[in-house]
Amino acid sequence: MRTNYTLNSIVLLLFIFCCYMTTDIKAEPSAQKKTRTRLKVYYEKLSNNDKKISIILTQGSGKKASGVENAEIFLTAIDNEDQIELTSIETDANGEAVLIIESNYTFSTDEDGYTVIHAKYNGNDSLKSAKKKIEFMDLNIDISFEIIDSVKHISVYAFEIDSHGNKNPVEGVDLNIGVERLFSTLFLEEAETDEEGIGNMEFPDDIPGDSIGNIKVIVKVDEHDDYGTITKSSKINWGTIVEYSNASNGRSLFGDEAPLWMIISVFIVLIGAWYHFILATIKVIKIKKLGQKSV
Amino acid sequence: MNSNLKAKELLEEYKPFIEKPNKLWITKALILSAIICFGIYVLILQVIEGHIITGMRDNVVWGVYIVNFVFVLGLSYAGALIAGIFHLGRVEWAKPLQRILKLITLFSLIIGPIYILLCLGRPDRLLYLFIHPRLQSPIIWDVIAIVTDMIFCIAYLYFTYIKDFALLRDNAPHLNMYNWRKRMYKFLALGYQNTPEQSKLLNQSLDIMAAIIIPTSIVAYSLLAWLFGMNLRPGWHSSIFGPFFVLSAVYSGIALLIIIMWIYRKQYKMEKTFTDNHFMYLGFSLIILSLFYGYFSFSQYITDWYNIQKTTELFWDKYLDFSQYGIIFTLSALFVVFVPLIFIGIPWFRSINSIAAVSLLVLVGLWLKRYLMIVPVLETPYIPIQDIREDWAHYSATWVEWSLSITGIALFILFFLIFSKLAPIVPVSEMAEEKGKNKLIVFYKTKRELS
Amino acid sequence: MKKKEDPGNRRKFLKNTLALGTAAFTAGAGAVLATDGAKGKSVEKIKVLTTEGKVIEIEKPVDDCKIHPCEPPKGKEARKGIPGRSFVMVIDLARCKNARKCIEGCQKGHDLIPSQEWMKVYLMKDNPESEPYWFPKNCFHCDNPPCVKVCPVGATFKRTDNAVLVDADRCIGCKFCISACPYSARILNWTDKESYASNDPNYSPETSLPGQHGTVSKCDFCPDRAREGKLPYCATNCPMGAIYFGDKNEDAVTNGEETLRFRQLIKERTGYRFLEELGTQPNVYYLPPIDKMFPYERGFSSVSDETKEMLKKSISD
Repeated sequence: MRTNYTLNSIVLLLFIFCCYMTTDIKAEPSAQKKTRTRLKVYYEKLSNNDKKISIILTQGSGKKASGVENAEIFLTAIDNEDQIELTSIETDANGEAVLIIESNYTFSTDEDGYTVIHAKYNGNDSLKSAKKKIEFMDLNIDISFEIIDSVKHISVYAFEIDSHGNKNPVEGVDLNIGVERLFSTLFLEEAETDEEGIGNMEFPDDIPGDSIGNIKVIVKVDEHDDYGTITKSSKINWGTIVEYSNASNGRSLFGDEAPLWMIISVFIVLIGAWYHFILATIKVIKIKKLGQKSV
Repeated sequence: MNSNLKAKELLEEYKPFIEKPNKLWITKALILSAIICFGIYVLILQVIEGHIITGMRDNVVWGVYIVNFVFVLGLSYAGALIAGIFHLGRVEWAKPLQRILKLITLFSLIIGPIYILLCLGRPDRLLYLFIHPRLQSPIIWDVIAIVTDMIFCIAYLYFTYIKDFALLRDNAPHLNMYNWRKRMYKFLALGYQNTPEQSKLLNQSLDIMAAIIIPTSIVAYSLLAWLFGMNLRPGWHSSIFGPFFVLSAVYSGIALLIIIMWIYRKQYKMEKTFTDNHFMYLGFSLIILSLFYGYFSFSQYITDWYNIQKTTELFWDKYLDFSQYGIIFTLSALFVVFVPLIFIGIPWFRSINSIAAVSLLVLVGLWLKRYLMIVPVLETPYIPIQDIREDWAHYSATWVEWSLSITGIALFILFFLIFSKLAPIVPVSEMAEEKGKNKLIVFYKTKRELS
Repeated sequence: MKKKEDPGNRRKFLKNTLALGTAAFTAGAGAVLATDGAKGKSVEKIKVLTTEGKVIEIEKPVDDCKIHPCEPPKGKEARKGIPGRSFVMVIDLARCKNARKCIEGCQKGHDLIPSQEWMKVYLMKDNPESEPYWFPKNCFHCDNPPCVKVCPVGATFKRTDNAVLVDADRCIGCKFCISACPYSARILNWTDKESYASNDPNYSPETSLPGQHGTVSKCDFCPDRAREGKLPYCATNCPMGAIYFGDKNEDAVTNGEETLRFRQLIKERTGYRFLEELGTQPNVYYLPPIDKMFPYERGFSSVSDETKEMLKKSISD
C-alpha cells in the first residue's frame, strides 16, 4: 500500500502541535507574573572627595511606585573586560542604599577614561531582576578666594588628573556657586569654566554670615553627563556679621517684664487705696480697744 | 438715749425676721440648696469632660459664662457706687436701702468670679494667676481690682453691721434664737457701746470706706470694660466702652435694688419700710439712667453707622437680621430704653408693681445687651469663619451653661435668705439715729468744730 | 600616594555631609516623603569601600543636628530663642491650590485631631471684581503680638528667634489670647485625648508635644525641626512648594526645592503682610496671587460638596 506522506506529515504536525499546546496549558499555572522593578543609580562626589553611589530600587510604576526594602544590590566595576566585584549593599525601608568610596580608591578606567559600575538586583519570587550601569569620570574642583580692587572674587578651577598625575583643565563645566544656609543652599550665580578650566564669580558684599562673618561657599556641578554630581565647599570670612544676642525682649508690653512706669503707677494707685482702707480698719480696731477698756 | 430707744422699738418690729427660721424659710433654703447641688454636679461634669460640652468653640470662646460675669459684676455697683453716694450725701430716704445694696455687692462679687472659674480650661491652675502674674495683662489688673474691691466691700459691709450687732447683743435676752447666735453677735460687735468716741470713730471709718469704694469700683469695672475696649476686634475696639459699662452697671444695680425691695415688701408686708416714695424716687432715677443709657447707645450706633466699615457692617447686619440676632437686639433696646420711659414716665402706667416689672425687664434687657456685645463680635472676626460645622460657626449655649447660670441665681437668692437671718435687712441703728447729727467731714469749717 | 584618612575624621565629616547629601538625593528622586513626627532612631550601617579596596561598615550618622543643642529645651530655657535666628515664612498665593497637605502634615507631626487646624486654608476674595484665591494662614508670629500682651500668666511668649510659643504647662485656658488674636490663629484643646499628659517631663514648647487638655495651642514654626535643619511640616508637605521658610538674618527662604534671597523676593514680587494696618508686625509674608498656576475652582476637588457650597456662599457676600 502506498503511504500517504502528506497525510502522515499533517497528522504528525497536528500531534506535535497538540502536545505543545497541552504542555503549555499545564505549564501556565506554575509560572507567576513577576512585578517589574526599576533600578536607579546616581553618582555623587562629596566635598571631601569621597565618592557616593546611591541606589533606589522601586517596584510598580507611576503613582503606585514604592521602594523595595531589604533588597541586595550587587555592585561591580568593569576593568578592561574583567568584572571586579565591589560589594553588595542592602536597601532600607524606602528602597534606598548607599555606598561610600574613599577618595583615594583608584578605579580603573576604560579607553575613554570612564569608570563603569554595574548595579544588579537579582529579583526574588515576586519581583523581576533589574540592572543598571553608570559611567563617570573623576573631576576635581578647587575653590580659591581673592580680592581684586576691593571686589571679592571666587574662582573655581575644574581639572582632571591623568595617569601621570598632571592636572588637565576642563572646559565648559556648568558650576553653581552658592552659600550654605540653615535649611538649604542659596545659589547665587552660575559660571562656566573657560579653556583654562576656571569659572569666576564676583561675590556680593551683603551675604549674611554667622556671628563673626564666616560663610561656607558651596560649588556644585549638577548631574553632568560625564562627571556626575560634584559638591565642594570651603569656608571664608566674607559674610556680614549677624548678632547672636540671646537677650530677652526687655521691658515691654509683650516682653517678659513689665515696663517700669507701669509697675510704679500700679503700686502708687494700690498704695493710695489700701492706705485709706487700713486707716479705716485701724479706726474700727480702736473701737474694739475702747470697748474692752470700758468693760 | 433717744436713739437707743428708737432703735429698740425698730428692733421689736424687725425681730420676727431674724429669729429662728420657720418652715417656709427652711423649705426655700432646701430647694435652693438642691439647685446648687445640681449645679455643683454640672460643674464637676464640665471639669471632667472638658469645655466641649458647653457651646464654646474656637471662634466664640467666650459665651454665657463671660456674659454672666460681666453682668453680675455690674450689679456690684449697687453697693459700692450707689450706697457710697447715698452714704456720703447723707440721703435720708435711702437709709433703709443701704444694707440691701451692700449685700447685693457682696454676693455679686462672690458669684461673678465663679463664672470666670467656669470659663477656664484648666481651673486646677487658678493659683497660677497669683504665682505667675504678668502685670501687662488686663486680666491681672482686673484680678487686682476685683480682689481689692471685694475686700473693701466686705469690710465696708461689716463695718455697717457693727452697730446692729451691738444692738442685737444688747437685746439678746429678748430674742428667740439659739445661743450660739447670741455669742456670735457679742463677738462680732467688737465691744461697741455706742459711746461718743466709738461712734465718732465708726462714722469716720464708714465715711473713709464709702469714699474709697467709689473710685475702686469705678476702676474695677472700667478695667473689665477695657478688657474688651482694648481688643483689636471690630466691634470691641472702641473708646466708649469704659463710660458705657459704668453707666450700665449703675443702671443694673438700681434695677436689682427695686426688684429686691419689691420682693421684701410683698412677702414680708414691709410697706412702712420700703414706702411708695422709695419706689417713686428709684423709679425716676431709672428713667434718668435709661435716658443716659439711650444717649450712650445712640452715640455708639450713629458713629458706627454713618461711615460703616466692612467688618463692622457684617456684624451690624447680624443685629438687624431677624433670623440671627434681630429679635434679641430689638428686645434689648426696647427693654432698656423705651419700656422705662413708657411704663414709669407715663403716670397712667406708673405703680409699684409696674416699676418692679420694668426693673425686671431692664435687667433682662441689660443681660441681652451684654450677650449681644460679646457673642456676635466673636462670630465676626477679620478673617471670616469658613466652617461647615454649625457649632463652630455659631454659638448656642448648651444645657450645661444654662444650668450653671440658674445655679448662680439660686446661690444669690440663698445668700440673701441666709443674710436676712443674720441681722435685720434694714440698718436699724442707723435708721434710729437723729438726722443731721453725723455730718460729713467736709462740712466742718474749722478744726474746733471738728473736735 | 595614598593618604590614609583618620576614620574618626571621616565619621565627623560624614555627619555633616551625608545627611545633606541624602536629603538632596531624595529630593532629586522626586519622592516627597512626609516625615514622621516620632523620632525613632535605629542604628543603621553604611558600607564604605576603603582605599585599600576593603569594605567596612560604619554607623550611619543619625545625629542630624545643625544647631546644638538639638534636644528641645524645656521650661525656662524654652523662652530663649535659637541664637542669631529670626524665622520668617513666605507663602506664595499664586501656587496654592488647596491641596491641604500642609494641614495634614502639621496635624500628623503635632498629634492633632482632624478638627484642630493650626494651619487653615481659606478662600478669599478681596473685592467684588477680583478673582478668589486660596489663602493658607497659620500663626503669624507677630513682632508686636496682641496675644502675648494679654496672657495673665505668661503662658505664651515671644522669643528672640521670632517664634511665639505656648507653654502648655503654664496655660490656664482663659482663652483671652484666642479672643485677642485678630487673625484667628489660636485654638483650644477642647477634648481630652489618650496621648495628652499634663506637666510631662518630656514636654517642650518647641515641639508642643504631648498636648494638654484645656490649654491653648497654635502653629509654633517648628523650631525643633529648625534645629535639625529641616523645614516645618507644612513647608515640606506642600506639593506646590507654596510655603517658603527661612531665616531673615540669613536672608534666605526655601521651600525645599528652591532657595531665594528673602529681601529680594519680597521686593521683586511685592510681598505683603496680611492686615498690615493693625500694627501687629507679622512675620509671615504673602506673595500676591498673580499668574496663578491653577484656576481656583480646582481647589474644590479636595473638599466635600458641603464645604464647597459653604465656601462659595462665603465669598459671594
